[in-house]
Amino acid sequence: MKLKILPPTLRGDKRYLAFEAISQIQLPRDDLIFMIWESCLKFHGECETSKFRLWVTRSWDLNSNNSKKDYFHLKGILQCNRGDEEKVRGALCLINNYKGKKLVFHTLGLAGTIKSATQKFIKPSP
Amino acid sequence: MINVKYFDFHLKGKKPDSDLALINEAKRLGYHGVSIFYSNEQYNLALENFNKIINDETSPTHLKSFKIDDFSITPGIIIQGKNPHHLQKQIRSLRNKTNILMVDGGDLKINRAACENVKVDILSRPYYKRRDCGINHVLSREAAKNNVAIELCFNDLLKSRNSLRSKIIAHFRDIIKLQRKFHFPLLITSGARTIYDLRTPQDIMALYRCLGLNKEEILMAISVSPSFILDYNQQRKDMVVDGVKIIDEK
Repeated sequence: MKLKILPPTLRGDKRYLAFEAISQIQLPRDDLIFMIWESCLKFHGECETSKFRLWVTRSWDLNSNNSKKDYFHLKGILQCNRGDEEKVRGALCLINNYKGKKLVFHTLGLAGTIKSATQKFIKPSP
Repeated sequence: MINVKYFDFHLKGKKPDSDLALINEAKRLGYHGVSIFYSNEQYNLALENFNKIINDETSPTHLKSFKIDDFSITPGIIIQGKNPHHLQKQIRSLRNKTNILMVDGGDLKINRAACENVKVDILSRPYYKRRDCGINHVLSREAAKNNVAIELCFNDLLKSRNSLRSKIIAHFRDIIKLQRKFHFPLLITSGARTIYDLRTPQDIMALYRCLGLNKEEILMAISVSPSFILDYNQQRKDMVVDGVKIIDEK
């Protein structure tokens, strides 16, 4: 049986970090999640990371647009606890390689809803 | 709202093509200016390349800094002194050649010689390959007196792991503690070699806030201090002593 969802007043506050990743290898979703968790755990430790409530909400693979370039490009939205955005951001910028290949995470911006994060930073309207 | 200008004051220069890619990426990430460092041998060649790529034929060929739109590029020289005497000799010969002079730290005697020399702009990584942070209250006082900025290099954090990274963070904290007491200029730089080493100014700010700096201190280190070094060095040749400047009547 599935638990009934908590009322909005009892749910924790969230923030959505829009990010982009540029890498020398293709990044599947599982690897992306592993890297984010690994970096947060290494930089802040288990106790602190448990407060972040990290969740990769969506990711967009943008490689079809730049087939000529020598790197892979993806964008995504990461959900985290409100008040801990700076800590997550700090941990994300310390990711620099995966499986011996270079990669970099840039935070594009911070938003209160998935919709606004997508509209502002992922697919900005002209 | 105040328009803050962010600077990355330590990019490592290699080849003209890769340097230009690095500069373009810094511009895309939201920086307003960069300083790219070369060894003494590579500096002239780099300056020639910048003159060819950025400036047209009408502009003077002896420029030491460049601008693309509002984005400033300032090539500088990094000195690796073997001993204090060698370092002073290098500083004397290179000071007029470039706008920004950086000394690669790590050795205690080199750190001291750099902090005591008013002609040095930046002491880079005084903690490098050391068990302590490389500066103490005496060197801090000298650095503040001679306006020598101490650099905290992000690349050192990026390229280290586990216990080494935690030691570097501890060194950063020691330097920050001394800076709060003696008020020497502090610089936060990326030390980037490739585009994969660059981060946005907001990410760098978030990281250093985790390390214990507050927002004002970070803005000083990433924006105010670099601007001051650039302005000060443009007037340096007119300065007789500190506080006395020759003003051209024209």
